[in-house]
Amino acid sequence: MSDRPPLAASPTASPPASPRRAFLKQTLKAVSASVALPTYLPARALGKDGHVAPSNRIVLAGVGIGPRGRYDLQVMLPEKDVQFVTICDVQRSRREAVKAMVDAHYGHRDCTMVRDMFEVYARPDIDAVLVATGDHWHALASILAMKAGKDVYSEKPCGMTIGEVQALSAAADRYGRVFQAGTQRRSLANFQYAAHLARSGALGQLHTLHASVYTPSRRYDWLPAEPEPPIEEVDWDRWLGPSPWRPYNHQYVAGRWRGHYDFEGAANFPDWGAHTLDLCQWANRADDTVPLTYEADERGIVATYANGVKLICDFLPTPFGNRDPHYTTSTGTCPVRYEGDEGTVETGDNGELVLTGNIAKSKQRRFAKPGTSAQGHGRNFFDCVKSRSRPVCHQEVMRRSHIACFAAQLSWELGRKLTFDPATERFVDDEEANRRRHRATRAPWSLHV
Amino acid sequence: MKTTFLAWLLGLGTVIADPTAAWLATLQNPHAAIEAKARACQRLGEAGTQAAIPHLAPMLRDPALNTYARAALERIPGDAGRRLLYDALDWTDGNARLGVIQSLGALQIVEAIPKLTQSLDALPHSDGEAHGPLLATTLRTLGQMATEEAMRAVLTALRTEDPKRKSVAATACFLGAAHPRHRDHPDRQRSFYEAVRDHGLASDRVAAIGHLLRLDPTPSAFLTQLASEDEAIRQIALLTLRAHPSDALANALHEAFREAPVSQKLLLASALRDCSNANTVPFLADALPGTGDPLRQALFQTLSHLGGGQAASALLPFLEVASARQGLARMPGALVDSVLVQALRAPDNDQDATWLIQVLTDRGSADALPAFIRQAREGSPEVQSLALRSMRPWVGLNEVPLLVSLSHELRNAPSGEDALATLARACRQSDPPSAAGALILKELQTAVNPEGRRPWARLLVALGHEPALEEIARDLASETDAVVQSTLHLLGAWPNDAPIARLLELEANPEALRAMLRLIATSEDAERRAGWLQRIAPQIASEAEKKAFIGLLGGTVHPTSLTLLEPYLTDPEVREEALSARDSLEALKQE
Repeated sequence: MSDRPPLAASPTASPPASPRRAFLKQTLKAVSASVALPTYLPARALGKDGHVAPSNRIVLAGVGIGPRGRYDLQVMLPEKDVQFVTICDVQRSRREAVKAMVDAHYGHRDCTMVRDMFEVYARPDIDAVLVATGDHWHALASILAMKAGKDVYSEKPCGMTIGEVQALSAAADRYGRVFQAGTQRRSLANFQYAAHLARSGALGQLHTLHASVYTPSRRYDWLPAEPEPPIEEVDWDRWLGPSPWRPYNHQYVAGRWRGHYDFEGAANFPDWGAHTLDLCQWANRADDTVPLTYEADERGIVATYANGVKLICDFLPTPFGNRDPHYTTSTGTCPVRYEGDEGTVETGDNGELVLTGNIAKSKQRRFAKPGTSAQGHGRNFFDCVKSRSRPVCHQEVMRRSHIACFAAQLSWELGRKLTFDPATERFVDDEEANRRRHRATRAPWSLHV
Repeated sequence: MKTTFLAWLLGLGTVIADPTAAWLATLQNPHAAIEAKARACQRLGEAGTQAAIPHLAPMLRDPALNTYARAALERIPGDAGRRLLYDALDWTDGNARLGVIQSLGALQIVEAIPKLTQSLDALPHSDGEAHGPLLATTLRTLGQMATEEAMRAVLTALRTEDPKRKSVAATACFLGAAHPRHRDHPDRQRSFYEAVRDHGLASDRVAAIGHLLRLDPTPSAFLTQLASEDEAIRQIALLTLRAHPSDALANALHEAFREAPVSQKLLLASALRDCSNANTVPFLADALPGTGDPLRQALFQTLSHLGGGQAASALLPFLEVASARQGLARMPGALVDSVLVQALRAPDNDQDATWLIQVLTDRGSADALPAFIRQAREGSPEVQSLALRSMRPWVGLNEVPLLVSLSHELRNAPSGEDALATLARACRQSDPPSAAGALILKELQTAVNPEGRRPWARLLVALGHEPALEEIARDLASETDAVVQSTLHLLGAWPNDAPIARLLELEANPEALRAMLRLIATSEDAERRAGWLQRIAPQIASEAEKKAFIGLLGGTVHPTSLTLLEPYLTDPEVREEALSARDSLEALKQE
């Protein structure tokens, strides 16, 4: 075990918001006092030949970029107003893989590589950060970035507990940063339309929402201890970060942390749930609340909203295979179904819409670009970075849909019905459940920075 | 208990009769592995009782196990864990002590506040590096507890000259203001935020202004901050107002927009996306004419975000601008479809018609079908083609007669192939497809020459419409060899093996044989395939025919296949293929 203490978790002084831009603005003002320069980013002049001028680009960094992060980058790099400049990862092999990808895209060798995220956060030229670490780092890496004045796109699940997503949401509010959760299905046409049908009343009175999830599972064992590699190869202590200590094994850092209690929140429930419950929240116009009660059985978890609508989280025995009897397999992974008294709509990653009832024919649509691409979601984030708007999956949307996941999973974990108060975000008369809203972090790492 | 977490544990066989006893024994065992002790702590956190608390105490000092022990102590209900953590403040150090302080905050053990404030007072002001983590953890924990005594200590730290102390104290102020005990006391919250605004570092001051706006979300407060010289303050005001939309604020933003310089207008246009009222769309529509970029782009985005028929009408005159078209494509609301469809009924020119069709296609709306049909009949050739391609997702049996008629009309036009391809799609999407097949068969029957018959025959073959088989096969009797060959080729594309019987009636010829070889491959019934293969076997002559024949034998698990394969095993032209087919048959049989 390493006896090296983790680095201090809280940089003491955060740089002011977008100082690079402020500097550019001041400089430009000084040299051209007679020209009325807009202070809003999109107002700045475009470069020649349709290229976005450097002063108008969003300078992006990546923290913890493995396979999923590289997928995100693949769709973000083509954005003409985004310049990816640095990769931070505790693993040398991942740093080098991302640098190769980025340099190949831009046709130069300028992408820098760092091991310590605080080096990234201290750079005043960086506007935004893509956080795609393992789940156990999502919340803290995002909070530290926002405290340092960066806008954040975080992969989901954005936290491991109710406490973590509350701290994350509070940090985004406190530091006035743009935050987008990587629940990209809100930016995809088929899911948007399905939600529109539910929200607009086309299904009649909404009564039941179905969200597909994995059957929850977790493991407590440790993989066999192996000698720690040199810190430049893998910084194991930093990889662990806020998680309890355990000995190194190369499989964790290669992505096989999944399923381990200390590294994956809520027994695998939010892996799909962060998407599917989020979509149901949206369909039910419930972005400002969460279901009040949660009760688990062997097939899933039934949650009930204050308006009486039921949210049924269906445990799928074969999520990537036959999804009967809950869903039409043809709609693909991450399916959701909304049921009203005049019709139902089901959709999933294949982009198909399965409609029943009065609307079966009249409201059918077929979209040109179905799929799971995060491109539109990333674009929404970058637009908001510029306009200082709230993205479609901003911190409050994220907090509540994640809370619904965690509360549902806790009802499974505790084996009893739980009642949740959306106003105080606490379980009602249940000390045991309330204590499980948090997990102890390994000191000195703390979410409250 | 149903099939929930504990039942799941039992099902895994990981829990014995009294699981906690085993876990406690593990903690007491000096020879137990660290992993076993860690796991015992985790399990005790989920199912442990007060009896476990004393056994967790020694783990608090253990550098590898203290987080596991704290996690358990934070989760086991009751007071014993709280007492242990309070006491542990005196006998832990380093990171273990920091962890204990964090747990005191998590569990709101306010009895520890005097000890925490004393330790804070004892820290030297000038040696931030050495004591930084302790200072930060202690101050944040005091903020998390947020009693009067705790906040007094926090505010004192905020007013020092030490920037590190100031920064952490500001965070503690924010945590304190958010504490449930202050939730219903905005005056107290305001006092904490004002303290940070007045005494904090620059970035914390901005955060405090954001919090103060949330407490006092009036139009005048927002407008004041939106006009700030400080970009960071403008940014936080912009983001904060999104969470506090109101009719009054929307009206105030409209008013401010009228008088503002362009740079300010951009801010306000963006703000109106999330803070609008019934007047916003007409207001922005009035503002659009004569506006240049980048403000025009911002107004497009805001109108697109707000959606609805009025917003769509406002964007329609700007179809030539790509971002306006993108906005129309993304805009929510069924009324948007109506506006676009109405516009497509009488477009000003071909270019507008093209753009409208593209936007409606991106929107995926079935409501556009009648307008697409109209353009397919009346538009210029380019518009016709686009309309025909765009309507494909929506066509079915109802549209077949119309598309048949269009296919006749456009037979020699550039869009003729598009009409036929759309008709093919309509046939496939017909319910049932055989009803469309019957309509197309009539066209085939009335066609007067082979050239006129061919398009309809192609459609019927693609559909596999069996009642048409004999009618198509009539051309096999043609005196023109090209017609016969092309009919054979067409029948070979039938989606199942229905034409084989008819083809076997013909005198042997290579094109018919090729067609039959293709058709046999469509059958998944081994018995049926073997039967066909046996019947065509005498016709196999060329090397290419042999190879195709052997390929089919290799995929037909039937005793006949081996018999038919036999002569080829010694045929030097195809011996390798035959041996490979035999191996394949053996492997398939084993499966």
